[in-house]
Amino acid sequence: MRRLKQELADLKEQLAETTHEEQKRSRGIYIDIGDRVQDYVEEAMRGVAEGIHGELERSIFIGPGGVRIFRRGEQPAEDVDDIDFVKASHIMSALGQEHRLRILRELMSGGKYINELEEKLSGITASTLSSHLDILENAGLVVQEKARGRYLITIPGRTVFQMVKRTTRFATMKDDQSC
Amino acid sequence: MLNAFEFEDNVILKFKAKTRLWQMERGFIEVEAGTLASPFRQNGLRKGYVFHGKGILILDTIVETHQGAIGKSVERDLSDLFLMIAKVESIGGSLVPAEKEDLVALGYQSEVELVTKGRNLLDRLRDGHLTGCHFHVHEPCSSLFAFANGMNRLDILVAHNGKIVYKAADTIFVLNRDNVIFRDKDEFALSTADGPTIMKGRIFT
Repeated sequence: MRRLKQELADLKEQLAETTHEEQKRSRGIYIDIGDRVQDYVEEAMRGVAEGIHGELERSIFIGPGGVRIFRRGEQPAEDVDDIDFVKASHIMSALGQEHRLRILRELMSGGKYINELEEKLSGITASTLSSHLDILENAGLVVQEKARGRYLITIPGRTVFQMVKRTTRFATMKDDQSC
Repeated sequence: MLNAFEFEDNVILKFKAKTRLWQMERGFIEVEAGTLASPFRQNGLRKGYVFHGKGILILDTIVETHQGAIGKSVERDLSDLFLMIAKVESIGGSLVPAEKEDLVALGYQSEVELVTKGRNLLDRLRDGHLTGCHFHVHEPCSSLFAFANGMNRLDILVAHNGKIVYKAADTIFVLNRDNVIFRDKDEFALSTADGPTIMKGRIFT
């Protein structure tokens, strides 16, 4: 572990030597740390995880979604065949509309009443807004508090919105690179 | 404590207007006009009712977390018998004596039939979920509701001083100020005001 920390510190130092001007000259504001360093970090993390596996009753995997605790021998579910295609297409269909994406974006900052959403989303009538919210609710992306009246984004809603955001950003970068 | 409840003989009432039996920020219980009410007493004081008619329970069993909301809003039709043990003075003004046709409209041939069903419900409450437990109704903000859930069990809602416990066949929801627990067959969430949120085995801080 100590050796790994030292090697990572050395790599950080090398990275810091890249000048500010060189970073500005790279396309947009995205800083590519280089395939070599990325590969090294992934390999190091894999090595650490394999090293402690079997010695601990539980293994801990730190991923982009947070800390997930597995029991001994358990692996993250990665079975790509296990997809409910009907549900998936329902969700994708709910996402395939600009106003609904804007609604999800507004709800990312917290629960909102319908009149608050109306205010934020000028250009959508109240009935259209209700209709979009029904579609999002049926797809499991938002939930309504029937007593208090607010709309909240659900965990799947938050997850797919972030996926859409990252995918769109990636597609935009690719478009910029090809110009 | 529940052994001491006695139904009032030959007293069947009905709501003359739509009435809220219980309300908090998270939900409410409401009955329609014409809903029958059979009162019961403890130590000579009216302590609750068994209801039968049309009503609704709305309860937001939703936990907000940094990763998104978990849970659902419960909307439960109360067309079957259910009971309430609570401070009853607030709804007394909404009740008037029921007529024979009010009972017939809900399938009862006599008051005794309704009282008998009510007594059975109270016995199920005493013998089932709350065996060995005490419930005091001295505080004005305490309410207990029990609903038959069609599976020979009772679903329970208890509310006291802003706290809620709701236990149904498929849902458990506990609220104590900013601390919330939600569990159904698919999801589980535990959230505190300043601590981690635990969801389905994942810990998010």
